[in-house]
Amino acid sequence: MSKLSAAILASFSANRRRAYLVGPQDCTFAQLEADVAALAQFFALNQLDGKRVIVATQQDRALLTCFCAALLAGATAAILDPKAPTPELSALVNAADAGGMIADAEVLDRLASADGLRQVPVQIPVNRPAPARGSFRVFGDRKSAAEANDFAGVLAQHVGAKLQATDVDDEAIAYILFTSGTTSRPKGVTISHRALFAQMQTFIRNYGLDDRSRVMNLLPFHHTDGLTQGAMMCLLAGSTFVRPYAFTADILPQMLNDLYKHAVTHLVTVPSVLALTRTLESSFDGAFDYPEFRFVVSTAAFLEPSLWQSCEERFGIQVVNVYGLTETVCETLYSGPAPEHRRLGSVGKPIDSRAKIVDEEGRELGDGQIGELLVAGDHLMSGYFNNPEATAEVLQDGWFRTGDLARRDKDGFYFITGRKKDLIISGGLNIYPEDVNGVLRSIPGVIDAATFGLPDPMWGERAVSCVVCDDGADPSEEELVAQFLERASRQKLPREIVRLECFPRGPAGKVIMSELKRLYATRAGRDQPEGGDSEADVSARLYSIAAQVLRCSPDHLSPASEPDTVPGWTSLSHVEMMLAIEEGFGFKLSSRDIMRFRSLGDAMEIVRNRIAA
Amino acid sequence: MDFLSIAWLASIAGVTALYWIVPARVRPFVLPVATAALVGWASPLTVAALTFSVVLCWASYKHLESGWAIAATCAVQLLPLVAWRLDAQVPLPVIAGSLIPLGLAYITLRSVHYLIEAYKRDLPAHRLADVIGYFFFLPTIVAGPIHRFPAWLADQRRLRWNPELFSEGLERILYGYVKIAFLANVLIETRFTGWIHANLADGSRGNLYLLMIAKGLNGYFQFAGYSDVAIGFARLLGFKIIENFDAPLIKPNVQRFWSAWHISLTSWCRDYVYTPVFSLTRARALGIVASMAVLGLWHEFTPRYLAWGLYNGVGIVAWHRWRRVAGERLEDWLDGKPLLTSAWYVLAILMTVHFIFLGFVLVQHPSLTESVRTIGAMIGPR
Repeated sequence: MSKLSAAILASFSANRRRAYLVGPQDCTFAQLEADVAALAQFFALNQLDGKRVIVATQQDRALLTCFCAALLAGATAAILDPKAPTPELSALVNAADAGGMIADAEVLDRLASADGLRQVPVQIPVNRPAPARGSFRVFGDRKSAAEANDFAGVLAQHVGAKLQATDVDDEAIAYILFTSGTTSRPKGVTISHRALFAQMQTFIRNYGLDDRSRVMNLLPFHHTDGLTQGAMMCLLAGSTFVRPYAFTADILPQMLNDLYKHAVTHLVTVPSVLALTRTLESSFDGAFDYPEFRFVVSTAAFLEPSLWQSCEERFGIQVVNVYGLTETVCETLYSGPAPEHRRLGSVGKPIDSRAKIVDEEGRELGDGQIGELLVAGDHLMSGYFNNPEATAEVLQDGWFRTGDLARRDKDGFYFITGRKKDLIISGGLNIYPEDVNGVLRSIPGVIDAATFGLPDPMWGERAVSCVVCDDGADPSEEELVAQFLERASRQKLPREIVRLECFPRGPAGKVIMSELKRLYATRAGRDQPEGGDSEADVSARLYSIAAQVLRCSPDHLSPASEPDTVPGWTSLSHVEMMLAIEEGFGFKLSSRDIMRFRSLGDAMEIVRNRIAA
Repeated sequence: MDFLSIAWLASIAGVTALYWIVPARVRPFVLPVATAALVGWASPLTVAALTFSVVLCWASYKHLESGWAIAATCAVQLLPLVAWRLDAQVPLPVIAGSLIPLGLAYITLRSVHYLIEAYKRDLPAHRLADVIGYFFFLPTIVAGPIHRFPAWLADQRRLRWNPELFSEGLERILYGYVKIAFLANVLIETRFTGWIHANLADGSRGNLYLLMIAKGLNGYFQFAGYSDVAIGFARLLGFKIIENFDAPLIKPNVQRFWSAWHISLTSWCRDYVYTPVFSLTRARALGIVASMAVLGLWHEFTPRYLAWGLYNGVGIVAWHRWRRVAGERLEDWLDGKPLLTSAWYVLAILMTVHFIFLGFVLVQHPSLTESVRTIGAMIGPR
């Protein structure tokens, strides 16, 4: 039996009475164990061991049941986004070459009508659970459910099955996550029992997880950050997994209130969610202020040092910045929580893994030099599914080429400085320009497409696409967006689609990206404003005014700075600052402005609004 | 509804038990209903005053945009308090000596706070039920603090059974009653004051001076005790409301004292009197004096409370001036001389406490003349 399977069985038996999932369908470890046992028996009866089982459902409890049952039955779970458009799902279902599929009924209907399910022998629809009359009947009445041919029916038919694990070794593939690919050749990352187990051990030890931990993570399950750095690590640590809803921007205030309400100890999230907290008023400052809370884990994208610092100061918390890829299960470098691993602005140091920086020829570079980051350890993927060429490109001599550019300082801390691969990370989601271009090119009337990333204060990066259209075709941006969304999921949709007459090309016919960006800037009227009132300019002037009044260095100020956090900020200097702002920017603050002004962030907003007006 | 009564203790215990026994989805409604029942039993007019504020606030939040409309609404909200305060001096026709609604002064300030924040568009999205819950919040009805809506709403939304918070609440209530019943009533009111009367001739300087100290200390322990009970009761219900005192009697200057005494009121005056006055006039001193005058008049519409407010306002302005002229230089000179720094700090605390306690004498007697005469007898020539 693999170490992973043994650990799951051990955790189930040690934590039976504890709460595992807090969400729309709460469950204890024992309840999940019973469902997993039933489903694993079903998998065994249908001889799905060694085969792939596709899982695409919005119901967390059903998804986790499938995932665990697949692991224990020796099958490989392939998790897909149930909200992806039909063509994309079809392509992934085809690529997965699966023996079974468990998905929301709506997803199966969509795929069946598009003729995308012919090759999947076993298909189980997940129906929405009937509104529970008692809180214990999450999946409805078992007796009548057993009649049904759906997921609840399968569980009911195998109720009472004893949980046992199929004898697989550590190299068996536990799951596949697809990281790119729309309709062309999708890239599926295969993760072995060995790699997943290694990653879980690191998480549990480094984050200090135990049966008193309560982890909130609202990231999607078809991404490793939701699946492994949430559900799985809680399962193995005996911790409670708090996931009352999926994340949307408007849920943020509720999410922050629910931290205390659910006594959350660890929050796993992405930098853009942290950036969004800047828009919240000061009554949320105490959201993390309770003794059980330990720290925030920021994952999936670059965390701006200023955002990092202002979050820590405003909420009085520690933010642990971590770095990794789907190919390294989830994370590989950690800046925190241990002080010796933490350095602001860095991704910290490798834990339970090794890292090195190499030049173009693969020679290892010394401290301070920028090159490609390579990592090694037990947590590396086994390879890309059915794609030995792509695997050979990135996995060499036990090292994985991350495609990210980095440097290491003399104390051994790693800093990400850029990207070698053609990849845009927007709000923690990976967008591959080639995928986006492929979708755009498939739209009638579009001849060519090129996509690049631009820095974005909220999302880290945003994708911008330029297209060239047929002479006769004249699609508006709205039409292009609508067509795009019929073919690919919303997360791949670029923030802007700009039409150009033609692309600037080099001698070999390749698009010159720097020239394209310049063309885009001109076309979209986005030339950098000359002097005057650019965003950065306003904040720099404001910081310098504040620093002068408060007699401190501007480096110590952030939008979260306010009288409570800055030593020199007394009621007198508050008044002086308002007068200095009026003088410095040449306008008079209104009564409403003065009453609103409590922090530098407020001041920034006030000044911006005044300038805009 | 006396805080120091078996009835009030029983209310705390009964409401808290009921509150946690009922299912979570019913819980937000239990408190307003219990508040209306208990308060309505003691003073039906208070329920009317609370309802009046709820209606005014919700209507303004939903329908009013302009500053003038909000200002007019604030004026309407202030009317009942002004009327009762006036009636206490010069009987008015309608009110005619009827009992003022319990905690009307607190209700009014909470409402004005809500109205101004609504005007600033600084309130988080909420429902009518939240506004009702905010006003019909039993722990703070009788004696404050003037807690703020956004913080209350955040607590309401984060609500969970938290044994640590509950035990903190019990502890605070105990501290509160020790302050009120033992320190204030037994030690200061009975023993210390009794000793003064027994040993020092009435009207002598020593007698007057020690009575001033006794009354000052008594006032502090009484009021801080009431706040403790309110804060503790709120914690029993899962709410962490604003602290009202931060060791005010050991502050080295009047500015610091007033940032530590009745914090929920002084911060209200800072936000809703000082800041608007300053923003209109750019005159800092005027803002301070106006805030302190309002703070005085909030207690009572009498010359003695106006005088008390102005006395403290001028005190703060004078302290700022002094600091600019000589205080900063003195601090620079003291820098690096730990012994002298400590001595100066102790002296500063003593001066501050005496300034404040002397101010309390101004409101000790019903008439200002009498109060001034007492001060004269204490420190003036004989």
